[in-house]
Amino acid sequence: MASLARFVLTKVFNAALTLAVTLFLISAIFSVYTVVEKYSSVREQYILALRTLETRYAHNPELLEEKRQQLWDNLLSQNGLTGNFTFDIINWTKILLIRNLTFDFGTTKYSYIGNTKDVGEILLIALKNTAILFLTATLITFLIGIILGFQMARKPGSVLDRAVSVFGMISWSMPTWWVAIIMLLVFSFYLDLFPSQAMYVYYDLSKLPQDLGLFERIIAQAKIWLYYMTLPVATIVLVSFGGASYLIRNIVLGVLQEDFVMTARARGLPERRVVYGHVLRASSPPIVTYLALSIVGAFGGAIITEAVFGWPGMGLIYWVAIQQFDAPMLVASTWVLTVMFIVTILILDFIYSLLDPRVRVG
Amino acid sequence: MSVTVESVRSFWHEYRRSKIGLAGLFLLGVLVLVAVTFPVIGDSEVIKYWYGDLTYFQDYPRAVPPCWAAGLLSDKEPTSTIVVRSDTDPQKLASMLYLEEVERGELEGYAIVAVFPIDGDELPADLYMSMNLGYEVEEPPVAVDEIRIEKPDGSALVVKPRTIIIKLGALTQRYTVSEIYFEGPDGRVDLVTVKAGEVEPKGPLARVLQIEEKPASISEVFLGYPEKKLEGAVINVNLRSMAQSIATKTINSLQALKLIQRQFKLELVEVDERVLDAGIARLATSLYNSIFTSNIDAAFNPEGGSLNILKGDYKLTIILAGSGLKVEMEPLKVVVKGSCYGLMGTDANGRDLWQALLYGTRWALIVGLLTSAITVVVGSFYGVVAGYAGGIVDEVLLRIAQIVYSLPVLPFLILLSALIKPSIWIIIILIVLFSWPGISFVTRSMALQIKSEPYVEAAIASGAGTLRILVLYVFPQVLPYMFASMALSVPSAVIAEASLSFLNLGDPNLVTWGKLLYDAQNAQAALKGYWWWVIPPGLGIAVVGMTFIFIGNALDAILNPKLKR
Repeated sequence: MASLARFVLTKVFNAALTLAVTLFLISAIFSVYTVVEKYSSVREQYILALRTLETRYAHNPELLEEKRQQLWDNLLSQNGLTGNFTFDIINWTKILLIRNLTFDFGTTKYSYIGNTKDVGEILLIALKNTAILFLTATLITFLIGIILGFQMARKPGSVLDRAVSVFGMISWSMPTWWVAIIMLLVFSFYLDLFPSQAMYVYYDLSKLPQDLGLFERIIAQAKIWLYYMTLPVATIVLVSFGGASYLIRNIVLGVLQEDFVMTARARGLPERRVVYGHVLRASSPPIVTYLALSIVGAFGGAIITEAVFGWPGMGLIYWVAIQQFDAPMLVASTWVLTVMFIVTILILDFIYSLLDPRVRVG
Repeated sequence: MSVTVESVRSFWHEYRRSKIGLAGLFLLGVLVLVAVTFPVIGDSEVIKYWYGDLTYFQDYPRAVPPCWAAGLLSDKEPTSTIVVRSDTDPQKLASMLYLEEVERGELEGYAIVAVFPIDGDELPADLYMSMNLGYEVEEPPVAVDEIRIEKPDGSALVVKPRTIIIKLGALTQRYTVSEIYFEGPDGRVDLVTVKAGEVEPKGPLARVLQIEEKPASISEVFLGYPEKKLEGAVINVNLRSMAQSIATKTINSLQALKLIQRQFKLELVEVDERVLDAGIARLATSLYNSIFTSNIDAAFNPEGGSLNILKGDYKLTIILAGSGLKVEMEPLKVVVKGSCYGLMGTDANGRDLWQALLYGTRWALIVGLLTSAITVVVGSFYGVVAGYAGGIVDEVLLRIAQIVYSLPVLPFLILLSALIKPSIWIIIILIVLFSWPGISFVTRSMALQIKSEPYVEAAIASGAGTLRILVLYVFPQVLPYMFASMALSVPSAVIAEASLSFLNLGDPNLVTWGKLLYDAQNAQAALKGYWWWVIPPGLGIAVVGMTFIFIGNALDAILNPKLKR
């Protein structure tokens, strides 16, 4: 058990280190940005106010000089600056570090999702929706990947094996969000089966009549979720299942050549039990590792995909924040996303350690 | 493991056996060819004005599909777009737009003649000609005597703008009404007939009421043109707006004349019911439609079945008349905005998507190759140094790589690009910044392994310097791996750049595939069914990606024999 503890501790330490560096990077980048912005706005205000000062004190150059200095200092302190650029950046980095660390992002002046302007609340709603979409899609991808991957590994070189491998290569080279646009073109425009924008899912849910029985209510809610979620989920699955199958095939193929598989076969176990009992168990740790990596890869594509479908998650937040250039929102969402991301990877690492007996026993 | 002719030959011999590798090489050849020869096979002007001056594209139809597909997807044949300009094709233009002298009784007459072909079943979205026109008349005004459009089947639509002048005592009123009729094989169909010239007021009215009819002056038909003299100005004759202005004048005047006709019991104008029923907008559309069909009923009844656009050459004649009239005309352009354009259609601003598609190859290759090359070189160097150095240096370097590796790349790219609004070169650097660790892990473990090989230990023992060992023993072994991973990391670089462009965070001055898709998304192209705008750029990205995955897989199979199956 000691080695398990060491493994977990190392991973937690790594994750904490990554988070700390990220936190510092984000805060520093945004601090430079904020301070530069503030200085340029102070300069603008200064030039505007200077004109009135100059006409008022035109007769008294000494007083003008004094008032000018006063004006500059006032404007600086109003904006929370000191005049020393380096010091201001350090100061703001500190402020932002604390804000990010406490997840206290304040409010935004723009409208996002829900009826709130509180950045933290908005991000919470968005994260929940992203999690719903992304988890469903990942789960389906891996179910398909495991089934297909095992089939491919059992008969390498078969038609299925080659077809899925090539399909995986092709789908790997396509941007997920582009496939999303094509899905909209086909299923929303030409076939008119699914909605073009998914952000009304909660509106539709809230419109359900109150007096429904429990069973009917579940059916009605499932219908609405299916109606809005099918296209986004199908897109992510379509783009990623080929690659997932191919990688799982390679992992399983490696395991199939190991001695214990031959032993199991020699013992006369039915092939089903050999594959789904022994091989699956042995290949699950690397599959979980791959799952973690694929989340890394698919995540970026998935958040832009959200924006295309108007799914009310982090992707949409990013899209809207970029359009309106809401820098505080961009920073907050990047930070929250990174935390979520690293925590997810950490959890998967932990699952890996539970699955792999070598880590447990040492 | 030095590179010799022999080793290259044997490598090629092995590579040739991989079908997928050959396919990748072929695709790469095509892509490079397109990227390099773009100035020859494409139109650099279009790219120059793409994000600069949208008026450059005003003569092209907006959001129309490519011609080859428009015919495939519907049973109607598309009408092609024709743009003939004096600066590109003066001879052709001279045969399409010219001036003729015509007999007009005692007056001098000139005919501005435009000949244009319609080759499909779809109504052209717009049709206009532009010319430099100058005229002078001894006794104003210059009158527009007749506008006649002869269709390919021999029938014609004739519009004769007339001015009716009614003098009632000291009060003078002028009304512009166009006489409109069709000349067909079955005879003449009158829509509006002006009879004011034949009417004689009788009885007590005759003393106070005078009615006159004459051809309308040019200022009444083409608003704002001087009646006496025009010293060379560029004018546009647009058939749609001409139909609009004729319809407006006619309907307005008819309404005013209705009262006078009823009051004095005179028939100044005879009007077909179809005109009376239509409002201004309907009449304008119907007139425009009836230019292109001989089925007048269909033209005047939007629900009344198909228009049956006539194919062939149309001839538009505008006859100006006046005493001692002199007209000079220099043709500038003739434009028929059809229902399809070119090889890839146009976007919502009329820009030729084929050009952007060709040109996009360049930046996709530059971004993909440059990014992956820098990434691989930086990553391998980092990994080799870490692995070879070992100890605390290795530990620190490895930790840094792991931190960068576990950052979510795209959110960070988005954040940075949004804050610094980068050029394409900065974007390349940003992508490198987040993608080098993956390669460094592999090269690090390779370096670790090589370092403990006996021949390296022997070299160290015989006093070889670190640099010598790295250059002579370590890098030659890492190199093959570097090539394979260079090819394999192109797709993600291309996709990353395209993703930033798709969010409008890319280089604002470059025409790239991602930018095309951003424009398409902004115009909601997918929801409007503009597939020719949405599919090709993404396919381009996918083809570039596939090219390098194919090459990379083939290289991988040869260079990493362990993976051979």
